Amino acid sequence: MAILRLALQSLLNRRFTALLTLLSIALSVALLLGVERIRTEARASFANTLSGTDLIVGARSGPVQLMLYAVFRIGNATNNISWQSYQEIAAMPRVAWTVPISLGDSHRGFPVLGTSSAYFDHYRYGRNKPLVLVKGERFADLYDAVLGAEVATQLGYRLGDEIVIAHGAGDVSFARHEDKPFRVVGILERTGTPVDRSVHVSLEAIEAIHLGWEGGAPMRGLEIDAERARRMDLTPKAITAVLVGLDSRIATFALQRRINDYPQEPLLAVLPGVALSELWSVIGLAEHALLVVSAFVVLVGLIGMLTALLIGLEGRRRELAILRSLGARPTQVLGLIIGEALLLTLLGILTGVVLLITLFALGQPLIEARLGLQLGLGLPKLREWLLLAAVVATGLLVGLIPGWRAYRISLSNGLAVRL
Amino acid sequence: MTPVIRLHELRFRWCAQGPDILAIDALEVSAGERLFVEGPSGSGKSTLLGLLAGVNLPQQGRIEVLRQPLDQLSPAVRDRFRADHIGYIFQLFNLIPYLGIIDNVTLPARFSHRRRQRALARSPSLTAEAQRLLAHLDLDQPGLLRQPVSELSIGQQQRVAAARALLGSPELLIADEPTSSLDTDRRRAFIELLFAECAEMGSTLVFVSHDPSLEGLFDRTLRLPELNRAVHHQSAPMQRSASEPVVAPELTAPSAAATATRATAATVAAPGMPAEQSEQQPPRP
Ligand SMILES: Nc1ncnc2c1ncn2[C@@H]1O[C@H](COP(=O)(O)OP(=O)(O)OP(=O)(O)O)[C@@H](O)[C@H]1O
Ligand SMILES: [Mg+2]
Repeated sequence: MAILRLALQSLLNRRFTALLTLLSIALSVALLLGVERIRTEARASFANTLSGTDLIVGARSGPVQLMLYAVFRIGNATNNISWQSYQEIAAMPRVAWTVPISLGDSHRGFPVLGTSSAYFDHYRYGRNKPLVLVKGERFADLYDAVLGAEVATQLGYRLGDEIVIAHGAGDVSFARHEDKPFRVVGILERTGTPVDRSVHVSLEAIEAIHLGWEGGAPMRGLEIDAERARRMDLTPKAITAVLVGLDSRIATFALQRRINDYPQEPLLAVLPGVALSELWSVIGLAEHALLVVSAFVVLVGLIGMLTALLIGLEGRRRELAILRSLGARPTQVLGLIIGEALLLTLLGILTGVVLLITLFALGQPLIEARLGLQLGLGLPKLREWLLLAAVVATGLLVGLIPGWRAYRISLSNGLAVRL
Repeated sequence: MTPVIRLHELRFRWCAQGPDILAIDALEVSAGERLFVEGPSGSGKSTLLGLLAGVNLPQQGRIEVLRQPLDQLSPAVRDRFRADHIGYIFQLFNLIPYLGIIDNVTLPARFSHRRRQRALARSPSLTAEAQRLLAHLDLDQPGLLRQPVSELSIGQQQRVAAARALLGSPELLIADEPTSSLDTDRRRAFIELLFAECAEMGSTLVFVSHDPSLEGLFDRTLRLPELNRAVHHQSAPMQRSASEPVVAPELTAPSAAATATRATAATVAAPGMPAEQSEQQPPRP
């Protein structure tokens, strides 16, 4: 204990170098923890996006790709499912519910999702949480739209506002469905999932705005106005994907096989959990690379401490001899130097954690808006504690090097001080 | 009365292949004695003090301090022994730069429970005891105590070091040329203060110095080259064959005991002497 107090006083005496060393450790620890936290939060938010769905069905492609576009609105579908197939899937035994999804259009950069009202009944996120309307109601009329929380706040929409849907995903799409504006009838509660960034309309509405757009652009002379569209047959011809819920989990694999072997059309059914873990195995590599790099940054910080302590030692031979003359054991001399390393590491970690939490608190609104990630501001969690423990252990190990040198010096020189 | 220090047939060398630095057949210092140790630079004075403090161990012979056979104690016990019973003053730079004056003076109490107890027996607190000692050494100006130790004059630093060595009344006080950087007046004052403190506490004082003018103040003088039969220190700059015994100028008129053993000393010193030795022990500036 006496030795640790000495270590502290010695560090305080060398405030400037100690502070620099401490700062480099703090920054590197903040980086390491930041990477770890963003990584786990990203995983958690991915995993929280969809729950209660047993199968995702789409045109045949890769499971990860299907998962990405159907649930996370990342990338595009290569193909659609015919309405016919959808009807047959919905009628298969053990299928409790289906939610059709039709993607491809956007509103000012936010994806527009065509679906049925089954979406509001069966879509679940987090721990089986249903979607809740904070304002208004579900779409009832053909030209009604329900907004995700982020769309509403970011664009400042309120109930009754009119919005125009653009063809395709482009932010400034020149092809707009201007003849058929939508009315905002409902706004959903924030979920922390891509739902917040979606504009929801009915499948029929998607059909209606594309009347006369069969070639991908409005064909001259074939325009059909909004009122006329209401009277036409708006049964969709194709949709992008289907979320399927079963009455019994046991049936999942049988149904998956059946859909994958569907003779009329090449389809793909995936279990969300399986697709997600496949996604992790892809992302995991980059994640780990990032974590390893930040671990190396921490190592660099600690090596900076090693250098500072080793250089400092040269000027402290006299001090070591004095301590020896006072009865300090060589192991206590070792303890003094290791104590300094330990204090620097611990204070560095503390500063790093405070720094990170402050940074996250300041950056929170931006990160949430941009990435939909909710960064936890709490104290470190188990895995982070383990990382920090590893940093402390490495710090101790690094401190062992100058400590050992000091030990040797105090053993071999005794009280004879050679400057 | 048993002596405080007793050396018997002691041999010490710094490295296994090197020459003997010290070869002392017998030395006794009695309790309360004030011993003046002199000898030319490199004659092994500091080395002897290191042995007395139990920091280094002799390769041969016995060394007893306060009836403890230092050569038979474990390193940890020797460290504890030093912390409990010995006050040590260096030639220069005695203070831990990052501690204040009071903290420097009370430092021995951090390493020794015994000295803490003994200090507390004299004053209500360690700080009070430190202040008492500092006052004895004329260092009680209030402004001074708040000053960083690096801003003290050398003489002030030496007195703080003395106060530290005296804290907790160790039985043996060892001082390695503590006055060499003081002017003549201060030197005398410093030594008188040291004597007064030692007398008050009944401590034994072993004092190394180059300054012959101080010699008369002490009870007894030990001329290390006369006692020490290891003659390496004069040999380094010279060229000679290994078999040829070397007799240094200082040793031409030594005591009878030293003369009797001269031949042995030369043979002990001879084997490790050839050319490489002159590199290991360059003449001191
Ligand atoms: N730590 C050490 N390692 C190896 N050799 C040492 C060590 N300390 C001292 N020596 C050698 O031991 C011999 C005696 O040195 P010592 O310091 O005891 O001399 P000294 O009498 O105190 O000299 P001075 O009056 O200059 O202080 C010298 O030759 C020195 O080179
Ligand atoms: Mg010396």
